[in-house]
Amino acid sequence: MNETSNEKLDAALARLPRNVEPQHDLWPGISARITPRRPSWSHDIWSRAGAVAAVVVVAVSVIWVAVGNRMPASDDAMFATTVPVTQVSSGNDPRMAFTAQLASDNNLPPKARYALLDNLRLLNDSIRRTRAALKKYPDDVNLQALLFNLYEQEAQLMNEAQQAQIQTTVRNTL
Amino acid sequence: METVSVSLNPPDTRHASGDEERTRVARARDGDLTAFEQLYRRHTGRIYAVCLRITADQGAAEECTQDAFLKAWDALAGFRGESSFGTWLTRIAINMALQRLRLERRHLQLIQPGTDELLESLPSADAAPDAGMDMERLIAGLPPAARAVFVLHAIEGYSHEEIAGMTGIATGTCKAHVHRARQLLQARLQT
Repeated sequence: MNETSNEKLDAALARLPRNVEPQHDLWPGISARITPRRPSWSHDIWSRAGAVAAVVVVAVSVIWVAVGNRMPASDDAMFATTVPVTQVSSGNDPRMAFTAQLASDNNLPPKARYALLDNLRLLNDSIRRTRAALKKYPDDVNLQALLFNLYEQEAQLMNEAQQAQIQTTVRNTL
Repeated sequence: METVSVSLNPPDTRHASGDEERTRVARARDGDLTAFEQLYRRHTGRIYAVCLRITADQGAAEECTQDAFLKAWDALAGFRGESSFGTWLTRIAINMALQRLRLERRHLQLIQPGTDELLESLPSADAAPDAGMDMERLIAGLPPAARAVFVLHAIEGYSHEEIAGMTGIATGTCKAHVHRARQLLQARLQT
């Protein structure tokens, strides 16, 4: 093919419109097939996770002040190996303080205490690892959802621990 | 060949700045259907054009366009904004159209007429009132594989390597398709 026909073709291609409108509106067909979804994790995950974490901190603080300081110190060797010393000795973080208070709660059956503390330790470890991963991949939706779920689990577990402590205290008082 | 309506000078009413577009995408990601419809209004002409040129079939192009927007809706959470929304959406549409083409070719392989017959059946350049429309018809008359590769390379601007990645064919085959398509189109333009 000669240069003229090449140029003619290129010129014809360059004139082609970028947009071609369909003959009828396709939106009704699209909207009818769209599945509504809940708000995405990526946008509100931090506010949700923050809210859950805040609830946990407040709840734990209340428990610690109201109940925890009345609990006698524990000398149970089992928990000394289960819960890291850094967690038990931390007095500034209410979550850590709650863990420490739970570890020293001799009113709870040892097996129940062990199970609660072990699960809290696992959750803390998972939260720490997930947060570390999120520093590397801040936009990863799955990681964000996982962190939110872990906070929820932690809140739920602490609530169950609190209920167990209250029930045991009431039973012992009666 | 079915007729298509071509907007040579699309209205500017759907114009949105980069910030507006990002806001719409974010709102759509959060489930806002109105924002997604605005994205549809802005991009549908572009998406339909790509689908139509690859499939050369109005009905198939409409289905591919709808499927592309549905796929985009489902995949919006994974859209990280590394490219523009339009570029991302176009790639989805291209994949839809290529997938459609592959499926159809399996069924039509045995009955598909040869390229020359297809080109002979097209109206001549003189008969077409619109040069752009005539070119569209000529492209539509290309063999499916050559047409898809030619559209992606000559109109959409993808490199041979990118097209090879999309279609699964070798880069050399991709170049051969484009060369053959150009030869066919030039021959037709000269008549």
